[in-house]
Amino acid sequence: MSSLLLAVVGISIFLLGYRYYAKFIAEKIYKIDSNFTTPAHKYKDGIDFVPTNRFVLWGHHYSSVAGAAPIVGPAIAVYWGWVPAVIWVLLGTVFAAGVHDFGALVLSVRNKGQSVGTIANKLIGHRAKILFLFIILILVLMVNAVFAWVIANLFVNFPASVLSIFIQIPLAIWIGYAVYKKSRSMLLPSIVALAFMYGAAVLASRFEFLQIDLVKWFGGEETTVMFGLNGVSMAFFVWIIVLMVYVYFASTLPVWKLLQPRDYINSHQLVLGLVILYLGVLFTNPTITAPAVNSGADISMWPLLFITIACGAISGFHGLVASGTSSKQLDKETDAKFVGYLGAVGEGMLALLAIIAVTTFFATGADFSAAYNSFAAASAGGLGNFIGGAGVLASGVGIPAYIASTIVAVIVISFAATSLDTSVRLMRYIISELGTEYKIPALTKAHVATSIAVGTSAMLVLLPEGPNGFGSGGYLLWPLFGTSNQLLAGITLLLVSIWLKKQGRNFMPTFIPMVFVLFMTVWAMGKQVIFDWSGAGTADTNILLFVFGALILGFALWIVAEAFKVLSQKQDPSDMDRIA
Amino acid sequence: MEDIGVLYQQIVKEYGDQMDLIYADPRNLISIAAYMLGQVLHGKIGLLEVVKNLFWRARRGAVFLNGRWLNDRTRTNEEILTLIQQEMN
Repeated sequence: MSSLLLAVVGISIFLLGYRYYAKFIAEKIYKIDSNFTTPAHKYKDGIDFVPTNRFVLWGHHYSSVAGAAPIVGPAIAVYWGWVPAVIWVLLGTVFAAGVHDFGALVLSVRNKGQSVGTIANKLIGHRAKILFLFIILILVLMVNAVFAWVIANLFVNFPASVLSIFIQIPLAIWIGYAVYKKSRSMLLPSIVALAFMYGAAVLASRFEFLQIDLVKWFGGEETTVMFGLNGVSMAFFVWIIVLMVYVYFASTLPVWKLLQPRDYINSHQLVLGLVILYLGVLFTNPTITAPAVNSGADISMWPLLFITIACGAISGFHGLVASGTSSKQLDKETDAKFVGYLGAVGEGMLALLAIIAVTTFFATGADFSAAYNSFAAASAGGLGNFIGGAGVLASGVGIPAYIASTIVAVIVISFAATSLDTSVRLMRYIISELGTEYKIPALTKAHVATSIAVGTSAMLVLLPEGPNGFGSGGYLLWPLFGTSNQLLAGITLLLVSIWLKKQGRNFMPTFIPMVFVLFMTVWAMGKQVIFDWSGAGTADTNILLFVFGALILGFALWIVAEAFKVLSQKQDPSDMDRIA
Repeated sequence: MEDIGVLYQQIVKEYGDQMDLIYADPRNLISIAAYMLGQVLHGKIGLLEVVKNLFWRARRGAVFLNGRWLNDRTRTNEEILTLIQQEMN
């Protein structure tokens, strides 16, 4: 199978979805109105509420939602074959993610630019808002643990990338200082930073002494270093500690000092990476060697596929961005289709690229099957395979594969590190909000909340033990991350459905994907909690994952019950004025 | 950022629909570059100006009118409004 053909077919389906389905949703379901005064105009302050050109706003929205997750999930999910992964990415983007992101934007615009959490309070009740906060708390905790695990593993497996990542920190601080304190231009410093980072990646790929290889330093896999840990496990442990110390400081610094400048650098990396890799597909048209469907999978794709690929098919995080910032900048309500739906399409394109990179990486189908011989192997090695495959694609535009792999690793780690920084910061805010809600003043203190966030995240990434001992259990968290993300997406679709019902409109286009997403999520979590982690099935008991899984499941069922109670109520005409 | 918010509101109050205001996040380089190149196509600025704008002048809180750079750290909001007024006349 030609990967170029797959890319062309995939992009065509996305664009047809935008041309016809999004148009139908806009005109017949959401009934968006070009004369509606958006919050950006109504509350225009030039700071948060600013009417923004739709092309510009799409750029803001996409830079905020795109990260490492639409790469990691598809790189694992091709274990079940590339066809199921591609179908879920295409159909999920067109019928679920596009409708979800677009819907969250319209819902927020029709409710003064408020966030989905506040709207949940309004539409379902105060308890729903608190449940919503807990679900977001679990989601960000999973993001912290999963991305810390991803970064530590990439540091261990791609030591040539470490120098560039450490160079990025002082460079980002310098950019923050130059831009915010010295009022300098943003483009030049961020390009200089990128040149330094990629220059370091090239040099470290060529010269071994520039690689920060802790595994080698600790004596390799055969050496026992301390606490019975071998060189690889010890390297992983040290990287997790370093990351947690870093993220403690990074998430308590003002955003302009590190987070925002890192975002400038990352936005260039996102554009550059997408252009280079799609050009690589265009110039080299590599053959997909992976099997279309894996008939000998050790674990069924039903329902795990649908939580393994979250971002790239549907993601609740997009609803937070759409209702958090994008809705406050929407110039015309009719722009919501372009910004929201095409934002989801952008993520879908990134996921499609990840599938192409992994499935074209191996010389033969047998090589692919050997690397992806179990779901555990796919989860542990998927991201490394993406980096290898992306390196080969980039070599199509003249970059040597070994240098390209290091640069792709740098890009993925940069995205993951920014996600980690942002989510620890978000977790601190939520802990503080819960502290205020439950009158526990200590939780409102920044350093107390950050310590809790960092401590629980470190425990979660270090405690689960995978098949290869200490440090290999982080991939077990990926389904928990996918579940909490999908759960958030399902609840947002439910809120849009309730809003549509209160307007007396057909809510099936949001209700059907909501039922699908929530059903798959609850099924996957129920299956794992009961059979994989409780000890009731063939697997050993895993208390930590059991507790988190059971909590997510409990919150999910509770909030869905609350929401369905509202959805089944008879329509009150007075609501239409209040909510519209 | 509050200063630019005040300037924004003043421009809206003064000119309303007569002016197409575009607010851009600095991460959004493609949009900013597209805007600058659009101004070149409309004959408002030259390519050298685009390079200068993108690399040196697109600072935090920078204001451009038809692709021309209006403010630096030494100009107050009132001075910028005066420049806009001169341009509009």
